[in-house]
Amino acid sequence: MAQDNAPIKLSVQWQDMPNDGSLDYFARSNHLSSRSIRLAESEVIILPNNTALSVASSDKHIFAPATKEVLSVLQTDGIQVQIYDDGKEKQELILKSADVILPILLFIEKVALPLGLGILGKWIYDRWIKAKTKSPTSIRVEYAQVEKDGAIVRWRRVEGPVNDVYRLLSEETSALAEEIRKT
Amino acid sequence: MKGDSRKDAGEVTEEAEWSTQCKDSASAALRVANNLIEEAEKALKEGKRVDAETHYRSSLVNIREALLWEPEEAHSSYLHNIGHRIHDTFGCQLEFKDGLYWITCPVMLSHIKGGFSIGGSGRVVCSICGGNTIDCPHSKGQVYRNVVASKNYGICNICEKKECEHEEGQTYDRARAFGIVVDLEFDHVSFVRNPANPLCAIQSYSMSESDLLEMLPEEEHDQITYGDSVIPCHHCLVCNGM
Repeated sequence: MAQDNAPIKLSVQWQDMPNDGSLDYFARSNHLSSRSIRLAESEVIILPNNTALSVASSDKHIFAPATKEVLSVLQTDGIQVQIYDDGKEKQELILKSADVILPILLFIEKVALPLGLGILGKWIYDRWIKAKTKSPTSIRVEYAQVEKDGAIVRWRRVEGPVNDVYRLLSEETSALAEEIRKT
Repeated sequence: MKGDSRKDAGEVTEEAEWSTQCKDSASAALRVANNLIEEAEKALKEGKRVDAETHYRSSLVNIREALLWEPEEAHSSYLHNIGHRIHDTFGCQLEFKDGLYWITCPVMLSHIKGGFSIGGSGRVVCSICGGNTIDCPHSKGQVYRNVVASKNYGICNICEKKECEHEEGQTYDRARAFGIVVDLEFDHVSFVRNPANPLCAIQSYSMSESDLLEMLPEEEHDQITYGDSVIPCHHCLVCNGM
């Protein structure tokens, strides 16, 4: 009997990360210091991807290889952004495959959220879609928004083929911009 | 700042360099394969069948290597073509070892997509300034000028080669920043669709009795005694790699 070997196509969609709405929980989940986050003085903090490996370390942070590129594109477009720093050693995530994990973006200022995600989306488009460079097998985008009172308003992640992720990021950006416009 | 930033128009991108490397590596592998095939044909003419078969089967490894570097139909077709020739001249069967049948033929293995990728973390130093790449002011992939050549960690920071003509202490322009991984902490090995090193591919896999029976027509099941039967392979008769 002939077997159907066609791969099952899973739909790519945003995943809301489980959390209790508190910055402390968010920080603990990502092996970060909530105090260091509160002390940050920028609109966006680029966070390490400490949970990307099987075991998280207590004495260092693991940053995505694209951290500096993302920092640069956000800064170039006028966003106040900094790389998370609590004094621990910073190392890089090393994955020898075509999968790309982007750094986690934590938005402190609500207004920066659609702008920052829009810039990120444009960078993804220019880097992999427009340039027609060899696309990563999958790309992961993750972001969170924290209010001034320390509440995590949203924390979402999407992972999949670059065209799908770009499309979802664009839709998310538009929806957030509309939400801000209405408030 | 150590290393002035200037992005040159027309500078070769990393992707273009990687593409060239893949092409060159595939060509080199094919040259080796073609030499082996020549040796095989010469041996066959001289009646040296054992040598001929050895050379032919070795050539399959190199053609598959070319295919891994450049996954193109032409390479796949060539691989199957030579495989067919080997099948018709010498016959092919599954290897039995350590209580299992094994697929070791590069032609069969060429149908498995994917390979192995390591994952971990490491302290990565900047080739331009030697600082931590996360904290230093340089960006990987960006081209800098006035870069002082050094061969820390055995790699030239100007050209990324182990051996070159760049002199340590001299200043050079057009040095692309890259990261040098030191103190790698290994975490896992994954099986992924696109490993960074295309040669990290499966080299052989075993077939249990159930795997084997699944591949054979039901009417042949009673004819097989796992471990005792010689299992022929006729893959190249039914597949041309296209």
